[in-house]
Amino acid sequence: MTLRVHDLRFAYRGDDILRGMSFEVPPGCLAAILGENGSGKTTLLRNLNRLLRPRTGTVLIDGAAVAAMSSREIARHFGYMPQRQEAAHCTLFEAVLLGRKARDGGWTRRKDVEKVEEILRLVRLEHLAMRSAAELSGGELQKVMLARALAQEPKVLLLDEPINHLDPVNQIEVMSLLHAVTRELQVTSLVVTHNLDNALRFADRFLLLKQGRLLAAGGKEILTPETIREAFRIDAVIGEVGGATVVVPTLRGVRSHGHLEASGHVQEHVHEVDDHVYDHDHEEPGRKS
Amino acid sequence: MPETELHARYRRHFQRKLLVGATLVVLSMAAVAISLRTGAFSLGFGDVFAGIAGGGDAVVRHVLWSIRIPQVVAALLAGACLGLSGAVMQNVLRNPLASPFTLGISQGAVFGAVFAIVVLGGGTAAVAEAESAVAASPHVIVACAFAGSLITVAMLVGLSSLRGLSPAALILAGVAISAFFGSGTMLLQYFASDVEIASAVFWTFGDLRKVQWPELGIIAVALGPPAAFFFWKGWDYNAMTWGDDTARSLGVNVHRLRLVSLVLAALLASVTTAFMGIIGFVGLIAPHIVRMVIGPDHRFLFPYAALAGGLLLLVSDLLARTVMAPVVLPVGILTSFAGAPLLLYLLLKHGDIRS
Repeated sequence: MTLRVHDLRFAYRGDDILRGMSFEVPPGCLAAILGENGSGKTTLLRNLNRLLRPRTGTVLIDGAAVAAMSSREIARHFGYMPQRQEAAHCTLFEAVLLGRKARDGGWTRRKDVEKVEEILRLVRLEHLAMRSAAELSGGELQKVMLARALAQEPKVLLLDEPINHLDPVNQIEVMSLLHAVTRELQVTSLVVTHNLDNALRFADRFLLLKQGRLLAAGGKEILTPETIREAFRIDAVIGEVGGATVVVPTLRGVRSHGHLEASGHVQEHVHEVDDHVYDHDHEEPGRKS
Repeated sequence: MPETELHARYRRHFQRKLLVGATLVVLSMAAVAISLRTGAFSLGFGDVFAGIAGGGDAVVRHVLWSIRIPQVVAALLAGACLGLSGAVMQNVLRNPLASPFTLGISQGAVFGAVFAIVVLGGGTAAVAEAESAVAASPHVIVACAFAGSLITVAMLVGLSSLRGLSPAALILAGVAISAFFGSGTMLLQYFASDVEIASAVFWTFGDLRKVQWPELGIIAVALGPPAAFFFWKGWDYNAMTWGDDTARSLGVNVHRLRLVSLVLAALLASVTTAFMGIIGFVGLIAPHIVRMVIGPDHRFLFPYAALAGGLLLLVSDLLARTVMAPVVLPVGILTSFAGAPLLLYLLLKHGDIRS
């Protein structure tokens, strides 16, 4: 299901957040949305499924305009994972079932139960099905949220920083799961992330945002030191490590905190920490400053 | 295709929740039976059954059909209205403290009733009636109490839809509206006569004996459609527990659901309060008790909160009639007396109360 976005604009209290974005993402494609804080990544996602109303522009799924859909219809087309999600107190099974029932209502049918079961297998959480969602670890909760979005049987998946708070192993697990289901179910996936390395490893396409505009869109080739400097205002080295492409920012361009050192605050602070807290561990204080 | 293991486990999980409902029904029936035979005129179970079936002694039939059964029905209906109203408010306002009381609906009703008694003279004519000071023009008092709570609801809904207030802000708005009506009530009382003040204070005591069959009919009719709506939308309310964004992305029209729910829940509380006065804590506690047993699954929580509200009120009423017999206390005094420590107990035991 191809997602077509044309000249999408959004303003909030007079500030232009999205200044005309046009792009296309085909089915089975995992697209990473990259850009610095405030570049409009989250706003873009929320405008696609109309959690926010775009000022102008169109969003089409296989030619059908999202603007003309009811909220239930939108839920049939888009699965969405918000940036922050606190778990409610229900079983994991019911948390996933909610993806179908909130949009359909009514009794739980056998078909619903089978679908939930199939998805729980897919994300490898079936052994936890009857556990409370509130007891899950961060990585498990993210998988549950993904499973719930999949239970909606969406054509497009919108995920806002799904791996932000996860440890490296869970980051890779969630991203590779996402990569696999995107292929397997032929959905169109858009992922907002700050993790360039994982984006490079798992995404097929990249949307590089800057100040509400699309700086570049395309495959890996669009991520060059130049575009990264333009988008993130840092210098970076792009290279291969163990078969994976990695982006390593250099410290050039990072705002210096010399004014603190000059005033003596930092030095004093480090000194203090050194003396009192980390008496026996002199490697730690550096992190504090 | 045979049922899978997971499917079977989910079915058992579901059945356990149904069992909780069955237990509530059985407990309620037991409470009804005990309530029907208890009172100044003590009856055996045999008399009760005969009386209900239309046989037995004429006096017994009269006691049952004119006094005890209306009172039991009043407890079940009022408890259901309050329990359901509280459960809905706690969900849509995402606040475990939300209840008809905390949103100022009760205070709005009190102001309306006191206005009727003091300004419209609803209570003065009752002096001659000595005992039942509010007996005169009760319809005016009920209408004004209802209007008072409707004004509160209108203010809340207006604030919510015009200014797009957040759930937390709405709770604070409820506190402000409560204070406003509270001071309005005091102002009226300052200029009232002793008899009017007595009538006003007496009106605020929540009492099931204020209603008879016609009023019960009105309450039942008012309860039906909102209850059906809440039960049917159970999944939508479950989605709401995950936050507005998630609920919207799951296809729930959050803004509309919140508005409609608030209006319907407030109406339930208003009708009950207008007819029976203030019955505190049932609307707050019944949903919490159910939530602690089955969790926040609103497909079950709403019907069970209604059942639990009825059961709580029935037991409270039974106690109100027996603890100081032959003196019969207004049930509103008892629910507040019992409700406050019960809430504290639940807090201490669970350390946390969720919406």
